[in-house]
Amino acid sequence: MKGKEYPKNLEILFESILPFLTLEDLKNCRQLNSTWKYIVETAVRFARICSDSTILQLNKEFSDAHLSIRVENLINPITDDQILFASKVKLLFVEPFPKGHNSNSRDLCESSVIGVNSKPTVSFPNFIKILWSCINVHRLILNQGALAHTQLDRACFQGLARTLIHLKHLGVILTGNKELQNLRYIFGEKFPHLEFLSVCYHKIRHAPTLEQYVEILMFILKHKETLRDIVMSDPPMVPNQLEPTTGGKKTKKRKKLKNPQQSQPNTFQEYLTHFRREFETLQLHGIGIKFTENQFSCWGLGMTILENRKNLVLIYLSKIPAIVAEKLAWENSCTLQVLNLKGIPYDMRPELSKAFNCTCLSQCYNLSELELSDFYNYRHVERLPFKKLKSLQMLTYMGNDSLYGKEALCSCEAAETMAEELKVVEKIVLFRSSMMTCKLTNKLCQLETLQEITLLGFKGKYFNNERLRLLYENGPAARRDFIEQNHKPSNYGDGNPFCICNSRDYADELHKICSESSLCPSCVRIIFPKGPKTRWDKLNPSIRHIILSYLSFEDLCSARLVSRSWSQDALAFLQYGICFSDKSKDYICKTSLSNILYLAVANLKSVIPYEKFYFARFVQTLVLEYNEVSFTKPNSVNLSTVPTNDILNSFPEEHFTKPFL
Amino acid sequence: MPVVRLQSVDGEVFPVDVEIARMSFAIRNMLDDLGVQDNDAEEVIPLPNVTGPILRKVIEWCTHHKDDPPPPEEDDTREKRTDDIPAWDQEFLRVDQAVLFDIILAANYLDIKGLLDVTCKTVANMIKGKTPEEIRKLFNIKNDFTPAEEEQIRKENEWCEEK
Repeated sequence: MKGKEYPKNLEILFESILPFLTLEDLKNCRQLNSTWKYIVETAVRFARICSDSTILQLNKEFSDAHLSIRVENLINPITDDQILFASKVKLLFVEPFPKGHNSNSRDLCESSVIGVNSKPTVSFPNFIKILWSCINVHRLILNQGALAHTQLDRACFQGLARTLIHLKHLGVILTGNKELQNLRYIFGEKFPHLEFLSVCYHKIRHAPTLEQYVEILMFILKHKETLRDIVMSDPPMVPNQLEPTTGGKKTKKRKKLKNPQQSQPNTFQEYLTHFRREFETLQLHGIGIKFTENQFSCWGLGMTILENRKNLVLIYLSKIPAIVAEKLAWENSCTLQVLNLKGIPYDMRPELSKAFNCTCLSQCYNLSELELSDFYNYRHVERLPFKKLKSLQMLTYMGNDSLYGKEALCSCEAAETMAEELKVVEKIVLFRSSMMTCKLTNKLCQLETLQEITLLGFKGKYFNNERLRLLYENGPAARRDFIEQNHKPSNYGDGNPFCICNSRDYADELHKICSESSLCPSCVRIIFPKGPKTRWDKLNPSIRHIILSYLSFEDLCSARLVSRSWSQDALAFLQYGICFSDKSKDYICKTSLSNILYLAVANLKSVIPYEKFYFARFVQTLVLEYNEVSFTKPNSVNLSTVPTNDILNSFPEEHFTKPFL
Repeated sequence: MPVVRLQSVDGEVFPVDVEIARMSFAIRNMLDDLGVQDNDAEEVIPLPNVTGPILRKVIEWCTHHKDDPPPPEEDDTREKRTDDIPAWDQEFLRVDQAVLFDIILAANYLDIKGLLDVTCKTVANMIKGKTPEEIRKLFNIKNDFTPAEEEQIRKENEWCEEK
């Protein structure tokens, strides 16, 4: 292999084996030769260690391949020259120091470090110096607790915010108000290239104040020219705290969050109203919002942003009440390609958890990926407007029948409709299809373009296992873990409940697999073999021509666009009719089309002499080649304005099998 | 009823009524060339281009259609229809695409016109009404046009469609 192709291909392989390699393995791989060094550094984004002993080498060795650095054991004072490499750092991942380290500089560096930190023995001035030297960071991730501490954070981030002028991606996980206060130093700045913003909360102890929400709003609006994607979540309820020293015994419940809307019911809405016009100019590509029982900030903010949103490509809404989901401006969703709706908020008030009416998605005709999960009623799938969702390639449906009875996922008729209407679907994932029958599944398997169908929680005719029953009984948390555990590609094919079938005869195949192996069959992934590339080509030309002979003119036109070989096949069969009009005459006169068997004349209002000449030559060619030209005239031609007689007079009448008019 | 034994490429042998086997013009010619009489029940006819599962399907189709009148002669002027596939055939051909294509090849090799027609119509129905992209997905075909070539064909189609 040559040059750059080699590492690029291996890089893909390397990403697959990466999780199985230790740091030592990686170091060894990196030393094999220059190619492997390149591969390891690019694929792994090798984190260079910055310490007293290595800092002098970093300037020489640090390359664009190193996206992050790990700082540890850096006590001796450093100079600006020693940290020139910091300007090449692209990713800044900040998280707090672990508690209890025994460095003398504990008070100064208890909070943050660049990259992944394991041994925080860094002097504060050194840390600040490095941090502020990272002036080309594209992506900043502030992990939970990273901003939660003391004066250090303010000092750090006050300076840091001004250095991040190339920032494109900002992700923040917040756990408390102190962090929000510290975040102000970053939110106070404007990053001219910011495209992605994620603000999420993790076990937050105090609800954000109204002012802090407004700060977020202001920050979004400050970046409305560049911001393309937003991910936000409402602060979740504080969980019951488990006290480790009491053996996990529950302590007193913390108070439920009191959200600012409750205390100041109108103020936030007023702010939203104030900002609404500004939001309309946001050029968002995607938005993800997670609602919780708090039903405040993101709900209001998210709905405001989603209102009249016409150019969104991706929407990811979690824990959204169906009643709210239906009210979104779906009529403006023709640009939407990816939609992920997870229903049923924790608050199970009946008015919030009614069935989501999937028919409102009928305007999303460019949707290619759709995931619906946790809605109240299993009949969503039946109500999906499949006829309109012609671009749907991936359908994921996770029902919720463990909570609401033993309903079938959908009827056979609905499955049949899906099989008929989903013209290009490639993947289907169905969860909790408890009454899914083999017959129904077989219907889905008949989808011509389907490459993969995954059935999670399948309890059909053949399969009903203990493990899944326990998962059902253990409720949503267990179910979630189950999905997360089993949904990862790394779990496939290693003895877990997925099996691979190579036939569309689903029931027979599974029956065979179950009788031959000990696989837990409650979760099944069926991967259909991809049609061989030569499937069409292996038909000999005479068979292909028989097939094409049954196609209409329009179908043959489509067939011409499939590929070169299809084009040749179709063209040989195509009997072109050409419409001679003002629009097409120039093209026709100057192009040699060999398959013209008839000519229609329409909308021809101007013919000048030289065109007559070309046209005459063109028809003469046809006559010479086929000796048979039919002239037809669509009714739309206005004879008084069409000088067709002039044209026709150019030819001897005997050339035409059917005289014009 | 006299029987002939058909052997697939994978060695499977199918005893078939001679009358049914003779629906295949290829087998009919073989029988005639070999001089096999109707009572030569032990004669095995190898079919090197057909696998066992496909041969079973072909025999099933021929058995069902053994009393059908002979298909009409080719007539270019006759309207080409695809909506006249009998219900039994529709159900019979509700198979994986790979199997369908193998049946087509087998029908062509064995020269069973009725089966070839009905399978070709089925494939034609799969193509009908689909966009080029859908057809590519259906048959896993790579678009090997250059943008210019594609544009050229689109233009030609556009002119043709102009009303």
